[in-house]
Amino acid sequence: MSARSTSGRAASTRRPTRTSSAWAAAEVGRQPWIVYGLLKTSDGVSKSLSTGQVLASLAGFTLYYGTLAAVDFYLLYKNARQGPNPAPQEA
Amino acid sequence: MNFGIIWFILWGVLWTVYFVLDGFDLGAGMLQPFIARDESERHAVAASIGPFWNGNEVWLLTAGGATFAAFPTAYAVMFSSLYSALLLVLFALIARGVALELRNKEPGAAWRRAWDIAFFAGSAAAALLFGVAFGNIFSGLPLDAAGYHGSLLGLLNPYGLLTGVLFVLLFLVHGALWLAIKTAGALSLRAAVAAKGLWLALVPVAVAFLTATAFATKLYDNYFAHPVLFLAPLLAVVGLLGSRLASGLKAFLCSGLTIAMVTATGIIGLFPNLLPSSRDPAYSVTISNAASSPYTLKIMTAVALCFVPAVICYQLWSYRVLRQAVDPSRPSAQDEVY
Repeated sequence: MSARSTSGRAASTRRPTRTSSAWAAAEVGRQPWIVYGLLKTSDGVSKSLSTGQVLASLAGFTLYYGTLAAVDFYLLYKNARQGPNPAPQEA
Repeated sequence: MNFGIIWFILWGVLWTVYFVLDGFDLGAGMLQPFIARDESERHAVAASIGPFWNGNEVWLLTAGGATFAAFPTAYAVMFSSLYSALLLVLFALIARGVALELRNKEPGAAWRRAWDIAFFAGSAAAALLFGVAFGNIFSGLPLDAAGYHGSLLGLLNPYGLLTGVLFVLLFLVHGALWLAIKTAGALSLRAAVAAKGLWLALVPVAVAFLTATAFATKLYDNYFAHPVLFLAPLLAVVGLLGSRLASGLKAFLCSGLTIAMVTATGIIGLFPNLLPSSRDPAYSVTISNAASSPYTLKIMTAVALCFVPAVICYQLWSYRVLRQAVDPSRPSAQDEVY
């Protein structure tokens, strides 16, 4: 990692992207194996699951996490705008 | 004694401890809209389980993890057969977890009401679905050589639903008794009264469950072969009576005993199956056809012997440190965290 990328605002937004793309690269690069050299992805697929079920769960996850991410960003934005709380007063 | 049997027992113990512990916080979540009358009381219900619920759910992760590592075939069959049902459990647990974390992040009434709905709905759905899932496991899944032949709606058969309602009522009583000791003032008194009323609803359902189990499942076969095992359902009845006759902490411990022994009754009845097949016993997932290699199980036993006692110690310690009841009329700065 270069010195330039670790500094400033850009780095904090780029880092999660890097983690995710590294993960995706590992997953894609391992194909057609699900366990490298031992088990093919096609042999590991669950027999009793339909494509519809997998599609529905993927859509469900996307929607669910999308909503939670929106709520999360809203709270982060609001709290960042507000700044830190003043020190609590002793009762 | 072989390691497969040791891990079957541990598998049962992990599920049992999970239901005993998460039972009261799922119960508290289901009770919140009915038992709390204003914002300070709704907050007190959430705060009473605030420091504990996520620790309790660690036992669910451990139960799932132990199934994966000790009985990989059972894990594969369970999670692909009950895929949609377990996905709904996951969504329910996420909803209530997020609700507990976020309800106090905004002061608005609408914001809090929305999260309280998520808290209630997530708690109720998780309790019901766990019951439905275990009811179906007790009575057997439609498994044969080609795999699983059920559907999400097929799980909602009478015995599955009865077990679901049983779990909901067990957790409601357990949660009400928790709120009776862990909150103060009018809220605590109302919780104690609610526990008594809910207990009256629980008894006929528990009797119906124990009776239906004789017809819908083969669980009692093990009991008739070894009558000493009847101790488990007997202790469940003792716990049930104790949770009504005793009060305070004793009543709460008794409702915990009931949940533990109901779960144990089911799991003892399953032995040596983890997931019996309702089609043909030849396709049941059992200790011998699902267990990992003895070497794996040996390592896991050593790891479990080191870490499980440590987990039990720090969890007991956290309950001791945070033993004080939450008083809705005197909110403390510490409550605001939850």
